[in-house]
Amino acid sequence: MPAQRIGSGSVALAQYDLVGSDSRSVVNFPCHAGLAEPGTNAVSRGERVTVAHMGPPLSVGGNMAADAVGTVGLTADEAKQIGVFIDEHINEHRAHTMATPAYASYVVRPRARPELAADGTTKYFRFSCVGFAIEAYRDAGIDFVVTDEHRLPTVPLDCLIKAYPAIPLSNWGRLNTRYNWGCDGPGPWPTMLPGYLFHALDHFVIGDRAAPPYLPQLGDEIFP
Amino acid sequence: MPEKSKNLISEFDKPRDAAPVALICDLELANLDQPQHAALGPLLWQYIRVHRDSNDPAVLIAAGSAIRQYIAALDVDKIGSVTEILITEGRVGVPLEIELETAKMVFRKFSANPPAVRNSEPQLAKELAARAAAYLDEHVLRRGQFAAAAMLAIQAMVTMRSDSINDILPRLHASHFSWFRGQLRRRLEKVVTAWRRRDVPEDAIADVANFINQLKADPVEKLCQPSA
Repeated sequence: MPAQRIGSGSVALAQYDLVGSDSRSVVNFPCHAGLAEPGTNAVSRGERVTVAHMGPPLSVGGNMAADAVGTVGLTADEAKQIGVFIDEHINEHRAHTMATPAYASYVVRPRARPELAADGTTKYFRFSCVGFAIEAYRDAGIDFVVTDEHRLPTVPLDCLIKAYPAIPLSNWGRLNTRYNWGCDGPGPWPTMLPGYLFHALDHFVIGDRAAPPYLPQLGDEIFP
Repeated sequence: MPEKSKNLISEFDKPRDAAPVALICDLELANLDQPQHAALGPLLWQYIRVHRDSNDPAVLIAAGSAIRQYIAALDVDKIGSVTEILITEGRVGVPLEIELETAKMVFRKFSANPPAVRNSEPQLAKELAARAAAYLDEHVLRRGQFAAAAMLAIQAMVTMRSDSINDILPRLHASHFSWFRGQLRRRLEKVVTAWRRRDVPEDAIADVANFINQLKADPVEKLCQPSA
């Protein structure tokens, strides 16, 4: 099964498989996603696994609790390509870890955003946790989920607050911070949420790289 | 924000014993105006020259940040000056992190500012080609960040329209790393798409497209042979 919620038994996990952590306040609501690093072959519900993820900050060798997992059945070659993607971006975010504030290179929407110099040169990339995972897979030639904001369901502020339980509520009240995250105005906003990725992988046919990507539906933030 | 940025630059300019690692990284995230960029450029360049060979990983991370900031703000006509970062003459070697950040930013600079003519920066291309050639070895490419450094060096050479890429192409074909070629091809196709949207001169687009076609022309049987 390409995507599943971890039940009573353990579930197999391969390098750069998608890992999801649930919100503590909403049942079956993945609020974080990362890519499993090598070394964990199987995982039980709630077990912490080593991941490459946009925490923030973007890090390799971090860890997160696993409540759901998804796989595209990466080949060894595709895994190497994801490794190149991570290596390209990791030092940008290691630098930003030394800066303040910690969320400075994070973005809620769009899921990945280049910061540009005056002449259009990309200075560095900002990601959301799902954006990092999506772009890593795309750089390996795997496109399993639609991210066109004109086609995505819109997400109201109260849902975003649930999706980002680590962010103090007061931060959502700061207009500058919200603008910086791409959530200016009253909302709702077309935002990629972790649950969308697990639904997308649930529809994914392993071995069919040419299949059209899944279009997230209203309610897909919950992954039962 | 501009006032805060001004203070950061003033702080950076103060004499000190230790490298101002956090300050450099703060500056990368600050919104600077044009005069502030102009004031910061020489300070960043000095920081890069002094710290690019540091043995301290945190200082190297900050040097990488300084490289990104410096090249991002640099006029494309002056990009040749960054060749100095890569020159090893009289030095033990350039740390891989520094090579990677430099190659990446050269690629990003030319991707945003397509060159009007070929071979405008032969010395820079030569240094990038040396890295790509060294890292396109099956025993090297699979380790650490060598694949990313090689990938970005080649992306930089292709977008700067350097003929040095012709020296690399046989190595790419000889390598049985089809995964590397596939990823390189996809990345360059994105450049072509972006340049077409921006009405970049057709000869520049054609150079990149031609390189992509040469990657595609790789004989299939070679993919299955062990490298020499």
